[in-house]
Amino acid sequence: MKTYATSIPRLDEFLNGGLRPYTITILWAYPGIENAPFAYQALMERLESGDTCIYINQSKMSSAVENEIEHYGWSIKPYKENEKIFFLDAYSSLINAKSEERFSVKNSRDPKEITKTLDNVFDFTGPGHTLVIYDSLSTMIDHCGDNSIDELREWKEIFKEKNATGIFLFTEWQYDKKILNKLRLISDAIVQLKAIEEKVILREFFIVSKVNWDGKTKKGISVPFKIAAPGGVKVYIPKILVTGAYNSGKSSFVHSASTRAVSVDRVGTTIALDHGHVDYAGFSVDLFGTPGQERFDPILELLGGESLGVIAMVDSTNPQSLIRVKTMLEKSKSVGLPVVIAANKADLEGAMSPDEIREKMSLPAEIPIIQVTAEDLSKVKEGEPAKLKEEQVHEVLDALFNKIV
Amino acid sequence: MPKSKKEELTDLLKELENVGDIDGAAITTRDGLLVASRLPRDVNAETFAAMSATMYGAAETAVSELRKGAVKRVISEAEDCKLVAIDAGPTAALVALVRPEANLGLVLMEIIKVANATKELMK
Repeated sequence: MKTYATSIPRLDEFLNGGLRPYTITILWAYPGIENAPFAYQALMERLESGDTCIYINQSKMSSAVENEIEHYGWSIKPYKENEKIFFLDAYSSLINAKSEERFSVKNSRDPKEITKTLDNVFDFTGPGHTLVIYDSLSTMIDHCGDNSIDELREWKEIFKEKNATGIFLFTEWQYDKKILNKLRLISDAIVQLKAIEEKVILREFFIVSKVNWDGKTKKGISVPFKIAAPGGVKVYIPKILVTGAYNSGKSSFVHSASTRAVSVDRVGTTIALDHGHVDYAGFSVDLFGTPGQERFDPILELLGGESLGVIAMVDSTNPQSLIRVKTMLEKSKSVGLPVVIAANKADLEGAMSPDEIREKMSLPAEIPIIQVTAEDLSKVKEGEPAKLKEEQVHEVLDALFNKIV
Repeated sequence: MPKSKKEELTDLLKELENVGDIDGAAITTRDGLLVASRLPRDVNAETFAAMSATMYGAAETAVSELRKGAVKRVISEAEDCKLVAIDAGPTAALVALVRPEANLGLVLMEIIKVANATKELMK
């Protein structure tokens, strides 16, 4: 079976490679959360892979869709010129405006006319795969009535005939339970977009709650995200703590992993905080590096809260650092969080092996220990963050990300 | 639709901008996460929030060593601005960027007002 990747980080893994042909996937958002950027990102990925796209706009003007896509740093202009993307305008008639699109419906309140026009558009799409985006189901239910969703069955038939796949936007306003159940039944996959407010920090996350192909729904696994402009959907982890004993290389790690980083340090040691931002593998992460010396422990207690994961640095040549890091994990309230041990200076003389470290710290098997080393030992200077080998830094991040989502 | 808390907090920060002599402000949790901000474009709000929270926390720790009561505010005077970090409840702090020539008394009064409103909202 063919798969059509969406390029949305983590989502394709849950869908076991991506969308399947002839299916309908609903981007099911709760009020206040934007689902359109998810559709735009999938749209761009499909266009770039050579697919054709049909965008049925019923909740805003097609020019507004185009502007929004540009806002996220993409452009559909070249694809428009090459007839790779078609708008089916089901909005203009709702506001009694004249449509500027080649394909439009005269009566947006008539789902049958939308079906017919959709069929017409397919005459121009060619034999390859087509992604159909419907924006949005909530507008359709509001204007065309509850029974309009029965039309989805019709569309699925068209998808089968024309080799197409659908992404449908839906926002769960106050609808009857029956409608919601019908949507759940009729769709092949559902991606829920939710938000929780924790101490007024709004966290948004998505959950794949249904896939009727060989994907995974993994109950309760949610992926925190934020939408960056430009950039689109990123998995968002607002706080990862980088902690460990004095001189184990916390600042080195924060600086090596980050696209930009700042430190509060004096004479080569962090006295308050290293803060770095990481953009890697579709993740957007802020790293908080703590001071290592005991006299700064109050700051550790202060900054530890609300982390979603911990990178514990140990100095492989210094057994003392193993004991210290355990205390630090406790003080920063990190016990129980996903943790990865980064064993720094692994290439130096007298370095302990990961097995020795595991035994000395009596660590359970599920906590990964990953060795990291400086890129160029001759460039390492006392009191300055060293540049660590990129692939090892990424290995540490990958291991932690996999534990968090 | 009712406003989200974040929008209400951002509105509070906008109010502060109207006072005059205040170039921007942010609300951060005590542990360094950004809650809301109205800052000049070139400022990285996340880093600013993390560092302000650390500054405030370090001041609290220093003062508590002396056992001289709770910290009310931290004012950092720079060449081109004054940075005022003020208590906004047990979980948050408010940080404002004040112009150096500002009448600090007047500005402080307004900042305290907004800090109190923030405290109420964060309850």
